[in-house]
Amino acid sequence: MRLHNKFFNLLTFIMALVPVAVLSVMAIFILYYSTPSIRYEGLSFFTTYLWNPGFEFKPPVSVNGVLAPAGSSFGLGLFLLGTLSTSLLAIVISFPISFLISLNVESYLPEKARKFTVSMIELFAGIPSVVYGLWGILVLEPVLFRYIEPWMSKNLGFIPGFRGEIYSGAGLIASGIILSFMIIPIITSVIVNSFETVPKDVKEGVFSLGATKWEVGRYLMTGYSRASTIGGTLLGLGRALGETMAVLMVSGAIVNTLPTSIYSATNTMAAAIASLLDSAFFDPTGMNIAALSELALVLMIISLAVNLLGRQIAGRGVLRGYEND
Amino acid sequence: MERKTLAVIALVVVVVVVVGAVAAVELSKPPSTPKAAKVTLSESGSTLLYPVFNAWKGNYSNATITTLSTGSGTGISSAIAGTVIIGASDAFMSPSLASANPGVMNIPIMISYQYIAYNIPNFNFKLNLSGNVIAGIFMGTINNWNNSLIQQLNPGVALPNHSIIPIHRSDGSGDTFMFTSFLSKSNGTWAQKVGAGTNVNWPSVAGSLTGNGNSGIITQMTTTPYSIGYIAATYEAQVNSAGFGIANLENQDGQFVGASVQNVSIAAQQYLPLIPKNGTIALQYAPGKDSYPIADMEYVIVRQNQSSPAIASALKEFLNWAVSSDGGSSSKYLTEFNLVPLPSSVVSEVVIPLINKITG
Amino acid sequence: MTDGIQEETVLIKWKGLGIRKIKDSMAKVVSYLILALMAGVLVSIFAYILGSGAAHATISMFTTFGDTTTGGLLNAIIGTWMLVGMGLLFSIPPGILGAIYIVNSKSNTRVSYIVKLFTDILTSVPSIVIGLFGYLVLVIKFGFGYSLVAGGIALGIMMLPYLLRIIEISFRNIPREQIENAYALGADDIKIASRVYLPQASKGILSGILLAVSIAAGETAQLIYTAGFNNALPTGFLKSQVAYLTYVVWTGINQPSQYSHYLAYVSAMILILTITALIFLSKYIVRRK
Repeated sequence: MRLHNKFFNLLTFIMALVPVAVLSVMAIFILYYSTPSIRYEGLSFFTTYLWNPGFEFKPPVSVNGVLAPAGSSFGLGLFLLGTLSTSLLAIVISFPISFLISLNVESYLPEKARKFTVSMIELFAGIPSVVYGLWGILVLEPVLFRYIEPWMSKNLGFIPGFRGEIYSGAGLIASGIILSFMIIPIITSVIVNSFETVPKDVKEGVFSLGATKWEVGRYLMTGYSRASTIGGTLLGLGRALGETMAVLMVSGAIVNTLPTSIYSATNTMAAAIASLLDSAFFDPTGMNIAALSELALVLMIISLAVNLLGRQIAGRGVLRGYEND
Repeated sequence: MERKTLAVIALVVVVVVVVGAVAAVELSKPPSTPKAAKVTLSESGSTLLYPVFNAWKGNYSNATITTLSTGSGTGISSAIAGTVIIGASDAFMSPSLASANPGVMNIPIMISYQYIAYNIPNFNFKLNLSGNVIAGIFMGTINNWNNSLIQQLNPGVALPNHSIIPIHRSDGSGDTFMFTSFLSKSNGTWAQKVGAGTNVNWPSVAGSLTGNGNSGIITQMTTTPYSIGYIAATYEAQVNSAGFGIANLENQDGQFVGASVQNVSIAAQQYLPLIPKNGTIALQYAPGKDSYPIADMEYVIVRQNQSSPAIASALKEFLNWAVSSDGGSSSKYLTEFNLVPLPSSVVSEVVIPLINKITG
Repeated sequence: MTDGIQEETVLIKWKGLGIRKIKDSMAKVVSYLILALMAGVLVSIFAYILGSGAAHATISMFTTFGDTTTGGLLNAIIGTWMLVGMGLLFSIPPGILGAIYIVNSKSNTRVSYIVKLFTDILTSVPSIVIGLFGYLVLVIKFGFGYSLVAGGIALGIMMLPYLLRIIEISFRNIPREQIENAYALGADDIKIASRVYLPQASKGILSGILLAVSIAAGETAQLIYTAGFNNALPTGFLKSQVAYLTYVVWTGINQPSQYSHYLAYVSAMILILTITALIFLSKYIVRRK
């Protein structure tokens, strides 16, 4: 009896350690596979925007003790820029929308419609990434290419960056819009949850003083929810940083070309790893793969940091809508 | 919800999922009866060769052929790693790759070629283009269709005033190898700055886009007016239905030659007498007034030592069939896809000895 | 706090009722408009995908194998099912047993804290990083090749933190007295786990599994470099590639042929319908108390 118990407890202990083991093993291996690239590139990995796989048919060279294709030089600059710009655009779009939806759900919407509305928003989080990509290519990109982007370039061209040649519908704007669909559920659910924690008596007190619903929302509930709102936005940011497939499909997935305006094609770290891994196989020195591992390492660290920060600020209660694709 | 009902549903869900996984795997295993245990030869790689392997798959009965279209780079690496038996590739292994993997061979199987295609709206002229001009386009030094260098090659043609959007492959691609090899041989700046390979350091050109696989290039070009890209001739049907123009290319002798099987055979003939025993040869930018400059040797990448005698002999039998003129290399398969069979001298002197090196 | 409210109240009263009412109405209208916009986008996405899927679906797509340019989706449907099943196989045991450990009062609290921390961190790992890890370590280093096992583990890694978290919450929702009573009656940990924890939390566990499945079915980045693709069914757990629906959506739309696009639409349709059904089922189960 006791022995059975002991075994069982040991079993649950080991099983509980699985997530710890998995994360540690992943981090260690990604670091291990990145080391040739870290040695080869050093700091230039972070300062150059070019991704140069070198000359495949020339003999490889040995630099800093590691073998690499002749003339190769890998840099994450372009991808980092793309990641930051698409995520920033997504946050700029999502934050006001999430806030207004939360306000609406909390203040204006009749109680009965609440569950339905919340479910509707959560449904955005359930749509697979590739399906967003599909819709983006077939519906969003043509609309952007034919109507929205030309209009923007003509009428908003005085804003720096808003005037430029529109080569196609793929790029920063398409990526930002699709990313925002994915993170609106996250930010909304965090804000709604924290709006609900506002004590009823305080709310009623302010109402009885003659405040309008807008004022209650804008001043009272926001005041209570500041931490959660920031935290939730960070969580949304974390999600946007790691998003791969949809962005791969609508960003243009370019390399070596800096964007000249917001209509230019772009690329993100996550999408770059997915699209460049295939061509990295052909490098016998393995340096190309090591460079991609280093890219993955940086991405992992940034995502982790943003997510942990967000979780810390928002509190641990949040879970729904975290699919990382 | 009734607790019992819930428990039952839960049990059903888990059982269905797990049993389904296991059962499907078991059911899909080939029967273990000794009778007619057909060997499975798995192939993956070149998107150029994919249509032909698919055509062979249905008509070859001495082994089960499975195919996948993943790009030459993956084909080569999968064959080296042993995750597939046949890696189809438009590029031979680079010297460093070959020396790192001495037990792997690239066996020539046929000759292919590539179009330089363009999608210019309301434009019906067949453009003359040269390696220098194309290199300029893909390096960004020539960025408008009405550039004087293009006009010089096409006197009297009304060229549109619009940016050129070059489209290249993002995956490890034998087509990229063919294309960049042609550019390297015809343009010194390209050779020095970019070089040839299945993946190269693409110069920065504003507005350029990428595609995944030959199909990806076609799709990308279809939705991008004023674009230019390189596409395998095996995709002639799709190129025509998309309405792309196909350029005449300037060869080493300064002649503008159209993309056709004859011009490719002529080009190949210039280099084939020099083919080494290991089969490695580049056919781009051949001399001769009728030679088409983007011709290419196609390969299957296989390990010399296969995991079993059964697989080895099935593989040898299949490869022999593939290069024989009344088997896989007959016109019934190749004509539709604009592929050129190997001359019999190459088959007997180079290919067969390589195939015979396969052991199990 | 009350001081702040009074200050703001003064400001509010000073601004005048009219403007405040207008602001309130505007906020109401704008927020409803935004809601309507989101609803419209959702409906448009669903309508487009379901519409194009239904318009081009044929019986043969559901009954034959295919290679994303010809044929059907049966291999991809079964393959997705198999991969998700594998993922559950790898993630359910640690999910359930690990959660039992965490809620057990006799467990080391520091360990529990570390487990919860790492689980939270695991949700933030981008899917392509899991995919890269899966390729380098499972496919190449361990030699599994593109396979069910490699793809299954990659999915399992992604599903585990959700399962663990949801199951932990379900366990915590069990009234403390039930557990304490069981201990008082002399039951050991195994009996408590099987007689109290599991049955009482069964709704939560099932809901969590359905949710995890809905997430896993829509994943792609983990699988591209671990499962590969297969124009038929895999012939074993290792070294045999597996087809899956999201791959068809991704490559199908990239092909120039109309038929490939149709395959992509139908795959997207199947995915959206299945995932929506799973999400609603998972909510419905916990709603009925």
